[in-house]
Amino acid sequence: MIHIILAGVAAAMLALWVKPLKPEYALFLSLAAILLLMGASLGRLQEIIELVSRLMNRSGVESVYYQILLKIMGLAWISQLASDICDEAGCRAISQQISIYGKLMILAVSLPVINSVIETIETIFPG
Amino acid sequence: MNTGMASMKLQKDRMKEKCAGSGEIWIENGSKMCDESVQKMGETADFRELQSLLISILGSDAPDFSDLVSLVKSGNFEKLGEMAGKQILQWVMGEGLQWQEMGGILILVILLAFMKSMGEAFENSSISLFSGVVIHLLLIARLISLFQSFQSLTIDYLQNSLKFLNALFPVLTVTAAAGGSGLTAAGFYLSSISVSSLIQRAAIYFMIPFTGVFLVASLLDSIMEEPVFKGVVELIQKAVGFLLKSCMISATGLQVLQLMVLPKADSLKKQALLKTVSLIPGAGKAADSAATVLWGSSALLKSCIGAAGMLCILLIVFVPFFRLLWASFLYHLLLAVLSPVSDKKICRCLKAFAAGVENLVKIMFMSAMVSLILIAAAAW
Repeated sequence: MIHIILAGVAAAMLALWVKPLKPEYALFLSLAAILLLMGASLGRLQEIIELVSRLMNRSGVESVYYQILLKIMGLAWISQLASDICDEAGCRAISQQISIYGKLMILAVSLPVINSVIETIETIFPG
Repeated sequence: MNTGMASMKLQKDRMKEKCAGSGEIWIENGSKMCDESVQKMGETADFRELQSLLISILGSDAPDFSDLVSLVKSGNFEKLGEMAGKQILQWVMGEGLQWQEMGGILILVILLAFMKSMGEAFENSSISLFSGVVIHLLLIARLISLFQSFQSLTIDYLQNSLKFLNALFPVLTVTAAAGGSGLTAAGFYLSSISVSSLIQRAAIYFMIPFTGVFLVASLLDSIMEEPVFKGVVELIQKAVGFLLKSCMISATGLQVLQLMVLPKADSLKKQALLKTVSLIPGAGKAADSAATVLWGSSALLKSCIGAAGMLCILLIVFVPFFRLLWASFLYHLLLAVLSPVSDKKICRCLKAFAAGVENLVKIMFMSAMVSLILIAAAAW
């Protein structure tokens, strides 16, 4: 864990040093560091996903809803990452649009859950 | 003189012994006659419909109704205790304890807390909100489907008890009419059948759907920051409480009113008939005694059938009632355990569910009490 943090700090310092000389290289350097950190955290993320999957199976909730939950987390992560990269590149408007798009996608993905709740509510009342 | 007096005393004592002996024989013969008469009446009474209903409700372990009547008549309560024990065992060994269902809810609550803290790791707060709402909705869907199964359990019980009462009252009426209480029997038959079906239908078509609305409104309130449906929830709670009390009071009041008038009218008729019969020279006293034994036996049989019917209602209500009571206790326990550590919304959600189940428990209790009151009054 320590070496990942150190690599991140080193990449940030390098980018800071390169930025006045070649700003585009600084951006590529940041991107490379982000991808490295993302790759490193994927292993840990696998453990979390397995834990959530086990808990969901035990709770008796259908696997469809578990997949929806994972999609929400994944969408949140990717949209945050893309938004941060755009922010880093100085494209604030794109960053905000990506963030809004991410939220909309999360809402669209969670629609089956809302639909299922409405259907369950309907069944409680006799016809 | 003294010897004369002594012989007279001896003769008097012998007479006394003779009289006492014949009295015992009369009592013995009388009770034998009465027993035989009750037995014959019991054999002629038709319990086939009641028995097939009991088997369809309680399964193959259902007690034999005529055996129950005999057990009640002989006062053999050990066997009855055994039957109740069997039912408890069946409930505990079956899916009665619902640990799995509660475990599922507990895991969902833990997941909700986990996802919420995981979502907070993102700068974007709406992500934690979305994942939190999704799990909250899943919890709500799970609770509603669980409540639906409890609702069907209550409806099944109400329908079964109504069917049982509809089969029991004709038997009670025929037995009462055979005992010379025709007016009382007819009055009780009409009132009991109509009151029981009215109350069970009110419970099925009004109270149980109301509890559903209550639960949905309370659960939706639990997602909101401020309770929006508080008024609706309170109104439904009051309406259900009012309906429950009204049903109980109307059933009891009607039966008490009938008990005040009809048995006295029947008793007057019986007395008039007995007096007339006893005036017939020669056979008057014998006919009087036979009629008294017949009516007494019929009254005893009616009470035994009534008591057996009450025991059957208790056996029918036992498993669903304790299942609901246990569920209500479990969710109150879960709420008590989670409230110091869990989110306020989750606590509100579980509280609403426990209150909904409590409403179903009240409805089932009221229905069982009304059934018992109606049978008790009809078998009086």
